Amino acid sequence: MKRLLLMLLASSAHAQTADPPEAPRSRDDRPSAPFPPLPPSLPREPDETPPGGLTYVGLFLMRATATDVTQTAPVLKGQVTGRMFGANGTTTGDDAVTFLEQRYLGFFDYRPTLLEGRAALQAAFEVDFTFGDASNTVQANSGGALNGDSVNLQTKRLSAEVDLGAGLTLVVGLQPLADNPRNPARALPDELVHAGTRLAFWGSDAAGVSLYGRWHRRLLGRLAYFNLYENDVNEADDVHLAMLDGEFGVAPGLNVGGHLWYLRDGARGLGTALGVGPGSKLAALNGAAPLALGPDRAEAHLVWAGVDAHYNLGLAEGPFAASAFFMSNFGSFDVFEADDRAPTAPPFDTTDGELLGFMADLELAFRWGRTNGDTIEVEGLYASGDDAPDDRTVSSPITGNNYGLPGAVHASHRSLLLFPDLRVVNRQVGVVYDPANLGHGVIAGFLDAAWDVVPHRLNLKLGTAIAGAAAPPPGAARHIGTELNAELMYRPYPFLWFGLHGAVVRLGEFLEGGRVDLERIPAERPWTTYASLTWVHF
Amino acid sequence: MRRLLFVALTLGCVRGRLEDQPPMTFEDLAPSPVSKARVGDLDIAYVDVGSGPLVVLIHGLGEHLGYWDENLPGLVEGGARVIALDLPGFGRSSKPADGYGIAWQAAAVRGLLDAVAPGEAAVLVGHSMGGQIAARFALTWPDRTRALVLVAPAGVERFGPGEAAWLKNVSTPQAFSERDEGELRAHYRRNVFHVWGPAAERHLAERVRLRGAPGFDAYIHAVVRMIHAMVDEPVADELHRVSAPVTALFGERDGLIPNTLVHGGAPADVAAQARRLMPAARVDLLPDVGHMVQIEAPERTNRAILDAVRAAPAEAVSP
Repeated sequence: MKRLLLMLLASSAHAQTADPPEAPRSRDDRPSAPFPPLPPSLPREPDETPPGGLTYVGLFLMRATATDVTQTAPVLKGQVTGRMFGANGTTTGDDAVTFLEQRYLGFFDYRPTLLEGRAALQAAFEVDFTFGDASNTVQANSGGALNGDSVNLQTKRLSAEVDLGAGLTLVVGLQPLADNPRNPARALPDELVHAGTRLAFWGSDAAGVSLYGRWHRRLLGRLAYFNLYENDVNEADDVHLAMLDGEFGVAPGLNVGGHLWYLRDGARGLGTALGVGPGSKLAALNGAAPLALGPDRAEAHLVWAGVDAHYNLGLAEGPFAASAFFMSNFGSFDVFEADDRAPTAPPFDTTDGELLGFMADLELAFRWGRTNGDTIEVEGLYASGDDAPDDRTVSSPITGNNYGLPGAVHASHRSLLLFPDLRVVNRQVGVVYDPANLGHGVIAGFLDAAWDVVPHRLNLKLGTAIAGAAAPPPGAARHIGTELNAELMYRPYPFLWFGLHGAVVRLGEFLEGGRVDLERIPAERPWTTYASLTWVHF
Repeated sequence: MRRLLFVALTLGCVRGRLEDQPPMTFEDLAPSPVSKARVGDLDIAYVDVGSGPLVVLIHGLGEHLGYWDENLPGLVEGGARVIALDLPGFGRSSKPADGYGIAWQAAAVRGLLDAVAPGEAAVLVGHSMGGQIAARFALTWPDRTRALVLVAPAGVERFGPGEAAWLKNVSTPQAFSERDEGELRAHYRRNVFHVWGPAAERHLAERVRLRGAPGFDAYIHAVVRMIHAMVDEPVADELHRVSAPVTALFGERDGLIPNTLVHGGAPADVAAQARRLMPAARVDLLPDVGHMVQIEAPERTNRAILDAVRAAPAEAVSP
């Protein structure tokens, strides 16, 4: 106020003492002057362009890896994903193995101008190439060498997005599937990784219909239906997922969300070569929640209900950020006799299985320096389990890893081996691939400290992760493993990074008492190092 | 940590949303009242305070003359006549559909001076984009330039043709007009201000509450056109030709200079570049100061301006 008064006084003083301007006065007595002739300048294009057009974004990832983690199941060729030391045949060897692999993702978004940008066709395609091996189980050119080209194009997205007005957007077709009320095709990575249930339950792509809503800039909603598996087109034996999600901004930077999902699994553990669902071999491969049925099969009714909250996403409001979710999971299984898997067969009433599990996660971040690359992040994860998962009850949470390979990509942990790394192409393994951890659940902690050595150009991260079983088998130890990791990322150009990454895991005794193949438990500590090139272009 | 988190969450809960506050118009901006001069077909808003050697304050992209509120009293007390203006397209000045450009804005400043201080040479002070405009003014009309003070200036950092094309491509009206409070707050806190105080909150509130105001679309149009102009009309390679004494101030914690997306690196790199481009200039890097140097370090900024006023030759230096 004092400053304002001074300024007004000074203004008044100037008005009294300044010489009258010599410039010609306009009719309203304002001082005036002609616009001076311009010095030469470059011509400029007008910025008004009609809404719409074709937008393209590409993601290129290449990595050269040296690791002692090997896989012993030749049938899998280059496609090695899932739980380490499990059904995928991974173990460690005395000698390092090396491999080179690359991935390219192209995203197209076409909005005809005729529709004033109100509808878009979205498509995304993925090209994977693992040198010397098959890619995405395409076998024809395995062997690599000079003629190692592969037919390896995958369709990741093919959908229509239509603006319905009133804050509603409809997305129809093959589209990203995430556990978040935001449209994954439009959301920022931070919004998917640190909001909702953080891709820990669903993170893949699926065919379906999604209706996204956004009202008053603080209320988000989603109502969606996905067909996760089309088993036999003539039978009602598919896997359907319905999702209702919402998020409300209660204050600037502070949002709370709720989630309610229902899954009807009529596949009876069949479907792919590994099957789908808790009673399938896929669950064992991924270490997801198992339903031990022996030769029998099951249909499932699964329900998820949970809440999440996040504060200061992207460290926008200040140096502290927090994100948390709690998701409970319940439901029932109708078990069918092994020798009668026909869709019309009645279930065994006396042997129906039950599900009651939950997962909770809390992440805190502190920006200690200049940029968001100068951060310390700590995360805690708990997934329920029981000490005897080999029965017809499920005490650990069901995730997309029960239905896909992978179907969930818990992404915020930044571990490389103890939990699955995300900077991968065809080889992604983790000691704990799914938080259900074979039904024993998990207690895990992650600590990462990062430093932008050169702001926005050179970043060093040191991290550690530790995991134990929430409910180890009787007499078994809880400790699954402890990881130390480091990453150095250098960005010489916009959106192009070179990286050096490394991790080593000290395995715990849980594996020796858990349901793993003891012959694959290594004497040596698993380790991995790789160099990467990541390039986003548009 | 738990206590800090609690405090952070509590503060987050009790602070109201700016979007819930009544919308404002450009005419509601402070300080008020302002004078207006007619330059060609444009009305240019300005304040003209104090008496003494003339200092002209030119704001940055998206800003207005209120971004000098922390400086005006000190400069007047220091014995200067200060004119702060709203560049065309911003604040309470006209927002034409055509025009825009670094040279065009420099001409608008010249026109204002012709109207309110005819024939007088000035110490030109430009913040960010205003620095690039001030430099162009000094290069074009050295006879009207006694000294140049560049405050976190644009125009020192170079952009290659590809980088410039990309920046122009992503700088669309939609990209700016649709930013909500959360996005704007993130931008202001992360990139614009290092020291967050009442002035920062005030300017954020202005930007949020102006959304939808009469003239807002024209303002966004001006923002976009001036971004294009900043890369289309570089001055870096001409700075050595500025005949007036030059002072340049950089914030050591600037989140906009250098451009974090395109170049990365530290503001010290750009300050070093300024020293190379203008070997005779006085270049200071201020610790714990962000992009809003004049707001976050007003006394330091005023001292630099008044030093330039005192040191400047009485008449403009001929090239």
